[in-house]
Amino acid sequence: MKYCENCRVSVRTGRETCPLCQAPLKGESEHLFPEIKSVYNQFILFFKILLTATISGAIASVAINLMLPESGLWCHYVVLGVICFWILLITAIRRRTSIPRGIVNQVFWICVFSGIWDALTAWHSWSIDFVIPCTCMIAILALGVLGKVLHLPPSDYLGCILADAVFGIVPLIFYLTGVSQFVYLSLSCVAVSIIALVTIFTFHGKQIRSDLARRFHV
Amino acid sequence: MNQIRTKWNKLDNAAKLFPTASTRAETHVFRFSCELTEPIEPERLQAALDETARCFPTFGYVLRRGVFWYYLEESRLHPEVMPEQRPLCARLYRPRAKTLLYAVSYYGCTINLEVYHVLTDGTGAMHFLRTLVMKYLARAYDIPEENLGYETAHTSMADDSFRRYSHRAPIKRTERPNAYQLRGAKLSESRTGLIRGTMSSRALLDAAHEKKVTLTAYLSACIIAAIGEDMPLRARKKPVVLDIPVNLRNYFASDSVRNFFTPIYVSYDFSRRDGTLDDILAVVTETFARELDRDKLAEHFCAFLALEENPIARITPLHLKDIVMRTVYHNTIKGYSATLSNIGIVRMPAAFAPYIRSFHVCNATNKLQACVCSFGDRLSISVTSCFTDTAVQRRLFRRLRELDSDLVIETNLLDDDA
Ligand SMILES: [Zn+2]
Repeated sequence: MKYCENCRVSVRTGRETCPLCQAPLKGESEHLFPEIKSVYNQFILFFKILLTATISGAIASVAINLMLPESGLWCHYVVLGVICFWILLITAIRRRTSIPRGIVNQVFWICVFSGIWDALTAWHSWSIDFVIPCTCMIAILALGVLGKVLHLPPSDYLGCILADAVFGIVPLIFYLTGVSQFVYLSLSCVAVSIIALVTIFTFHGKQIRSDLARRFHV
Repeated sequence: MNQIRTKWNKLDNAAKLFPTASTRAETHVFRFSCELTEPIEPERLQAALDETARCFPTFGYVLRRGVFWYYLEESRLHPEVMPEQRPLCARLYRPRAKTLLYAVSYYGCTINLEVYHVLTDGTGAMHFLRTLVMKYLARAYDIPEENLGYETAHTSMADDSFRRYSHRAPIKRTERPNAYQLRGAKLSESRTGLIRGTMSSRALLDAAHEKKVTLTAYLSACIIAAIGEDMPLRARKKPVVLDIPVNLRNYFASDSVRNFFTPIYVSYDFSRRDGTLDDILAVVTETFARELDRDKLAEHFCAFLALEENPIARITPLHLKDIVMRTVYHNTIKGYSATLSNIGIVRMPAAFAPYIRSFHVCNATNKLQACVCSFGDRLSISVTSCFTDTAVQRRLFRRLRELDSDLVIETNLLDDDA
C-alpha cells in the first residue's frame, strides 16, 4: 500500500503519483487493474492507407482525363468504381458479425450496382441476364449450405434465405416484361427461389412465423 | 429437426433508450466486482459461471433489431471467463452483432462482472454476482451452498415490472433547465477512469445521522459540494443537478431481474444559495421527501410508458425511431451534471464472508458517476469519469477522509493518464 502525504490517504496502486493530487507516493506497489493495451491497431492504419490511395487514384484519373480530352470521357467510371468499392467494403465490415445477413446485404448491393453500371454503359442487359440471377441463386445455395455446415440456429439464416428467395423472384418480372434477352438464368433463378420458399415453409413454417412475429412486433 | 420455439422478450421501458444511445464513448455497461482474499482460479470460476448462467436464463439473451423495435432473443451462446484485458466498462453490444450482453473476467483476486444495461439493472446484476461468488467459493473451500434470498422462479425473474405497475396517467411535460456540465480534456480512446475509495460504513453513517439524513442524501450533498466548489463564476447560472436512479423494488413488490428503476433529480443552484454542506443537505432532504413517494415515482415511469404505447410511435420503423430516441436521450442527459447510484448493502451468508474482501460497483459514463455499495463495514464509493482531471474526486475523497482516516484509494488510471 502506498501513501499520499498531501491528501493523507492510502493508495493501493502501481502508480508513482497520487491519482487525486499528482504528488509523489511512498510505499509498496500493488496492482489491482491490468494495464490495457491500446485498441487502435494496424487495421485502422491499413484502412487509412487504402482510403488515401483510392481517393488519390480517383482524383488523378479525373485530372488525367481532363488533360487528355481526346481520349473521351471515362473518369466517372473510376470515381463510381471507387464509390461502389467502398460501399461494398463498408457494408461487408459492418455486417461481418453475421455471415447470413452479410450475404443478403452484399447480394442487394451487387444487384443494384450491376444495374447502374449496365445502364451507364449503353445497356447490354448483362446485369439482369447474368449478374442478378446468378448472385441470387448462389446466395440461396450458399446460405442453405452454410446454415447446415456451421450448425447455425435456424433463426439466424432462415430469414435471410427467405429475403433472398423473395428477391430471387424479381427476374420473373424481367422475363414477363421481356426486358431480359437471355432467359435461361432468369428462369432458373426464379425456380430455385420458389423451391427454396416452398422448402422453408414446409419444413420450418412454424419457425418462420415466429421469426416474423418477433421481427415485426409493434 | 429444430422446431423448438425461440424465446424472446420485448425490451423493458428503461432499456428502450439504451441501444440507440450506446456508442463507443457512452457504453451503458456497468461493472460489479468482488475482491476475494486469494487469487482467482480460472477453471473453478468457469465451472461456477456455467452453473450460475443456468440459474439466470435471461442473461443468455442477445439483442436484435426488429423492424419496429429492438428485442431480446434467447441464444445458445456460452459465457466464457476471460482474464481482464478490455478497458473498464468497454462496449459489450455492437450493432447487429450476436454477442452476449454480459462478460465475466478476473484479475488477481478480483472477479469482474460487466453487464449491458439493456439486460438488467444493479439489483439483477448483484444477484448474479453474489450467486457466482458463492458457487466459486463453495467449490474452492468446500462450503455448502446456501439460498441467497431472492426469488429464483424463472417467470418472476423475467417479469417486466414497469408494465405490471403502469396505469394510464396524463403526460405532464416537466421542462427542466439545462444543468451545469463538467468540461475538460477526455481520456484517450474514450476510456473510463475510475477512482474509488473504500472506507468504514459506520463512519459515514454516523456523519449522516448526526445531520439527521440518510447515507444517500449525505453522499449526494458531498458530491454536489465537490462539483460546485470550483465552478467558474459564469457557469454558476446553471444549477448542479445530480441524477439518482431509484430502485423501484423498494416501492413496488417485484422479483424481476430486469430493469426496474427510475431517476430522480436533485438540483442545487450555486448562484442563489451559499453552497455550504448544510445548505446543500437541506435542499437534498427536501427534494428526497418530495420525490421519493410511490405515486410520484409511478407518475414518472407511466409517462414514459405512455410514450412507448403511442400508436404512431409503435409503427414508426426502427431506423426513424433511432433518430428520435437519440434526440430524446441527448435532451435528457443535458438535464444533469453527474449521477449517484447507491446499490446498498451486499449480503453474503456468514460462511462465505471471511473469503471476501470487498464488493465494488462502477458504471461507464460520459460525465461523472459515483456508485456506492457496502459489504460488512467496508463501503465502496467508485467514481468514474471520462475526464483526465480529477479535481472533483480529490475534493470528494478529501472530505470523506476527514470522516475516516483509513480511507483507501484505488484506481485504474495510470501515471500518464492523469
Ligand atoms: Zn494526493
